[in-house]
Amino acid sequence: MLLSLAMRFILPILLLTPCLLSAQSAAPVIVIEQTRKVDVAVSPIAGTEGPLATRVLEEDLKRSGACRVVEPTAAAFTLSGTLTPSGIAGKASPRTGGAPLVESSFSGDARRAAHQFADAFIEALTGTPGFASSRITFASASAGKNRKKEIYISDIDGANARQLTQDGALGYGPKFSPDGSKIAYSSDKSGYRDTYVIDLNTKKRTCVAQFPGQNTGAAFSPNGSTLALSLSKFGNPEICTIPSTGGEPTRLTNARGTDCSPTWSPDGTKIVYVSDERGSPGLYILPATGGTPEKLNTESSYTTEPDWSPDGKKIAYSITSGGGQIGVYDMESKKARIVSRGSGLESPSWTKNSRHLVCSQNGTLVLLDSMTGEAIKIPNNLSKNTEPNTTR
Amino acid sequence: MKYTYLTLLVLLAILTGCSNDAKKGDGAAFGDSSDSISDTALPERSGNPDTADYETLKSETVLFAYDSFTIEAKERPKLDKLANYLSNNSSTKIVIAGHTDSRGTPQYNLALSEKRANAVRQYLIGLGANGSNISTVGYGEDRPASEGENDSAWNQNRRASPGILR
Repeated sequence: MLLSLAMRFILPILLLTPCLLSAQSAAPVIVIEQTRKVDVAVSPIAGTEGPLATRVLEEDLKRSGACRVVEPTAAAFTLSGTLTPSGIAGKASPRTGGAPLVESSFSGDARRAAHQFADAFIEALTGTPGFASSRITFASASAGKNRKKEIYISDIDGANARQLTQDGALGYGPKFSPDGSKIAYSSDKSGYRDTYVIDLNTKKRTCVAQFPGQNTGAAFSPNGSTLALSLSKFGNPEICTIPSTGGEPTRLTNARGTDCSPTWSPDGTKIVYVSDERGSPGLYILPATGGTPEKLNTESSYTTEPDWSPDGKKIAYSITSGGGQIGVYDMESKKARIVSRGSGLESPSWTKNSRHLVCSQNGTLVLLDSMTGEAIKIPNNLSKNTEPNTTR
Repeated sequence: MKYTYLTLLVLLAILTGCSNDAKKGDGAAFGDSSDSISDTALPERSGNPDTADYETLKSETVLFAYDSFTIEAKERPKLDKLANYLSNNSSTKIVIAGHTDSRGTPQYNLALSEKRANAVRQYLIGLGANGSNISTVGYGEDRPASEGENDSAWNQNRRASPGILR
């Protein structure tokens, strides 16, 4: 019923012709898929914070990739809300009348409540979780030869950016725990590169890996109990796992090359990582308990920074050889494609919907739609933003 | 035994050097998965690489090709000198600080810079140096020797610098 209702109002608004993107080597083709968007409208929300909540809601709906914001008369659904002491009471009504698609209370300040309203609507409409309530963590650098890089956190639309570390060192690769309550990152504040975990609730930081050499690139397992990371204590950077509270490492790789950037499959059984043991860096998958690595054929050289989609179907990665593009490897078809336009893109991190990716582009954070290739800026007033990671 | 390895290394270096110039592993001494030398674990940490003296041994800074951790033949005399210095100063602890140029992605550059430092350390051990006196650190692309975005700057930035730990 809801589906047929939604389908009637769906308008194909993007009919982009598939286009070729030139890249070095035998690069795969970028496929700009036809996307359909549902026309929606937002009734102005009354009250002091009303205009803010209205604007945030509209921006979230546009950013979702599933909606086009139009005049109420043309909308398939109209979202309306009332500010309450605890947040927003929101409702999404179909133009045809009948039961609202969403009717619920969303708590938090106007901004947060609007994000949750947007997510509830998008999930009801598409069956896929929205990401408007997600947050991002990233590193931002100062200028010059002796630059410092500190770790920051913000909302996924760039609002509420705040500095988490004041290490006066080079902070790298912040990554959220699955529940978003912790961030693992590496820093050389001791003089050597160690891995730390910040607990966002208690504001406490713990050093979880300080073995000889480099301890970096830590990623939480889906159940949060384990970190996969790159350790060089053996005399060579290798992929290892350790308990997420610290402890003895289990070594997973034993190669002559540079092994780094491990990330987990959403079921926790596999790890995808970067190795340059066969020349320029490429992507390899291995069982999370160890075993024989298998190389992914992405048809691009110099691929790094893999990130496994929350639905388990895709792996996104950076392609340096093409001047900085984002590729996506489909696990089922075993085919790779370039999903970005322009250059200077790196460090993709999937959002909850397994469609959008937060990336950095020449020091600016962007939200990339892997279906359309469109990238929009995530504004903040910080410079040299790198290695974004999203809550899932 | 050591000489057998060295001969093998030289042979491999010549063979692969001719056939595959641009790719990593062109020296074959490091980075080729077919060779059988095992890495030597890093020593417990000592000193602070951040405050090490990188001036005294500055002329022994080893330069690398793009995306490579191979010690090129032209760089090897520097490591002979460094090994010599270490043998004359057997209680001195040093750190090898690896670096990359600004191209490439952050984590890989960190790991590659560490790998460059590891490759230099391993080479020094091959020359008879005491591995327990040699630590490593990788700074990725964030401690450039030159700030430019051109070949000349990149060439200077892809390096491994020996520092004396104080």
